[in-house]
Amino acid sequence: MHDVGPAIAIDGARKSRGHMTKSRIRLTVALAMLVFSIVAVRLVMLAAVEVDDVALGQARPALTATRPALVDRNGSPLALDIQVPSLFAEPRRIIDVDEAVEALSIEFPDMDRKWLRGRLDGDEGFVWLRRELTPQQKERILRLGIPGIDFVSESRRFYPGGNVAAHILGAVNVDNVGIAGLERFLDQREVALLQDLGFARDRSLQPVELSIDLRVQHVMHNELVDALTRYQAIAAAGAMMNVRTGEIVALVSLPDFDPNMPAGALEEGRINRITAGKFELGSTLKPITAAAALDSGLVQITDKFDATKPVQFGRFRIGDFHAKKRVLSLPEVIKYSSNIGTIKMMQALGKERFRAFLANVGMDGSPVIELPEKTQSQIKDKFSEVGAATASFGHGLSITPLQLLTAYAALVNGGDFIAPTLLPRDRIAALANSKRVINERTSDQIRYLLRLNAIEGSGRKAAPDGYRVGGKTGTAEKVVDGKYSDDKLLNVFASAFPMDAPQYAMVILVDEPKKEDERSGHTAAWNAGAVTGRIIERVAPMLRIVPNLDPELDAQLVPVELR
Amino acid sequence: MRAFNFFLLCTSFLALIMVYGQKYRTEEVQSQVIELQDEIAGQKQVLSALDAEWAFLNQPGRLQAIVERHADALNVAPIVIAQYGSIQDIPMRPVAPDVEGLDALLMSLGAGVDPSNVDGLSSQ
Repeated sequence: MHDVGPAIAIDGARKSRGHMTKSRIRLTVALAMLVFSIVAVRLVMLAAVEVDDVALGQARPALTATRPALVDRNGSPLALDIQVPSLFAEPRRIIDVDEAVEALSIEFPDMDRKWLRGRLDGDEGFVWLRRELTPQQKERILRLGIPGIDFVSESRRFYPGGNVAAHILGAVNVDNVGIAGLERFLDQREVALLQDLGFARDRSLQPVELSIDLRVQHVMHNELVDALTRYQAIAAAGAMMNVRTGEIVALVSLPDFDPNMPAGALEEGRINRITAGKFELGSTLKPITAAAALDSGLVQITDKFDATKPVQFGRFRIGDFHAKKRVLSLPEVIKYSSNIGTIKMMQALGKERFRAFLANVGMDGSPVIELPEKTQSQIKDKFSEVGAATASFGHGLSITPLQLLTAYAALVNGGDFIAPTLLPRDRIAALANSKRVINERTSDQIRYLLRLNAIEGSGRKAAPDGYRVGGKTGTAEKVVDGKYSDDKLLNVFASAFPMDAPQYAMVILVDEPKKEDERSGHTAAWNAGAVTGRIIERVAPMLRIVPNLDPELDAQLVPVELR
Repeated sequence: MRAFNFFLLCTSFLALIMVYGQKYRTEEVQSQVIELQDEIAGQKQVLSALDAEWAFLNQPGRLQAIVERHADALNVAPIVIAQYGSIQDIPMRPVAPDVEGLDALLMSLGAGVDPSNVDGLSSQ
């Protein structure tokens, strides 16, 4: 080694080769380590990731998109999903088309052979043959052993009650999409969203509880079907509502349809008359006029109205159906259903205030309900003198029966206007969204008036002993060719029970009834009233309303001023 | 060093065998799982059909027709108002029977004394 100059190190060829080999080995080891660590990381990743079941060959068809079951307030199913087989073919795999056509047309005699041949003859991979078969049919077809024909499970909506709640539930189409009623409402609300997100594949959807009581619903349906034949009516409808919560307990409109075969729903005349039909509801509006007048303080329950002669508006004369031709007290105006007395009452109140009251009790617009089938009521924004006069006894304005029912519920429940609903609701929730339309004293007076009418007036047939029913008849002549017809009537009975502490309100409609026999009439009391009575007699025990024949209960309804 | 290599070789073979075994067991369990899932799906399907049938058979509309048809045999009728009552309508229980007297009688009988033979007791 020298002090000056660069040091020169001379390695032998062997040594330098040895160095190179070492670095090469290091490189190889490093590479191997890298590869192994990649493998290790990948292994951990694979172990950590959940195995996708679908990838393992058990993919289920996406056709089983399900809907939530619908149950009534006691948990009885109203609509549920069942799995049914649907038949499809793979024409590509069919060997003998003639044989397949032959075998299948034995099972389905109604299937057009030409159509079937066209369907099977071809090169497609998949064609539907018939959807939603019974398990027995599936068994028989499997036994035929036709190659290229197979089944897939599909969800089908089943309504065990058939027609009983048709207009509430609505229906679904073959792809399980709601097309009417609550089914459609639910689709719009959530099912569509869930299915989009892919959550609705499994049967984990929680059942949707409704406010309907299936037993009450059945009784109402049963009695209305009976009414159709008994009075040879063209239609009948009814709804019952819990006046404390606004829950609809039963809602029937006849003629109806079987939701299991929804094609019938579109036929003429099958609309939901309770929410999508508007009518002149006649004298059932008189208690509403009375409530408006009494609540304003401008009319007292002790007031008397001169009904000796008809009211004259220019060339129009309005008289009474059961003319008494004397001075009537306010309770008598309701009891004898006096048009003249009601007009006087409305005039004492003033037509603007009367119109405002109608708006206040929800008569304007369409009824508030979950069903998509609704119509708007028809009331003039401003009443003329004669318009207000006719409106006071229910003519010249069309409202839906549900709006009438809601107004009656508010009149008897102490004065709280509670919007109706088909979903369960408790008293607290109901009161939170309620509005006060009359004060409690007026409500007490209306309850007395309705009960009086049921004891002494037109509602006698509607009041079975012991259940303290109160109500008002309405007989409206239908307009035929621009004129009011004498024999084509729309009869309504609006009621509530038990009157000492009202729990339920009900509206019953019978369209164009005929006399049951020679001795009976064809006004509302004879049909809509009688149906109401029969329904209440049957459902009151189910609704835990204890009959009570104590005359003291009725006596207590009489306002102090009249005792 | 040789022994160590031999040991590593053995472990590798063992691991290989175990991994293979594990793989096949996993596949077996997996197919069992699928089988069970299919069975559950099948049972659910049966259950949904039974639910539907139960709901159908329990329809008030269906039951009413049956009850009406067999009303005579069943001997049932709709409830009438007279059948309702309240707890206040039930009369109070009559005064309890004379338990002490009965006990005394039984005691004396047990003691071998026949009260009917004792003078004056039967007339009391």
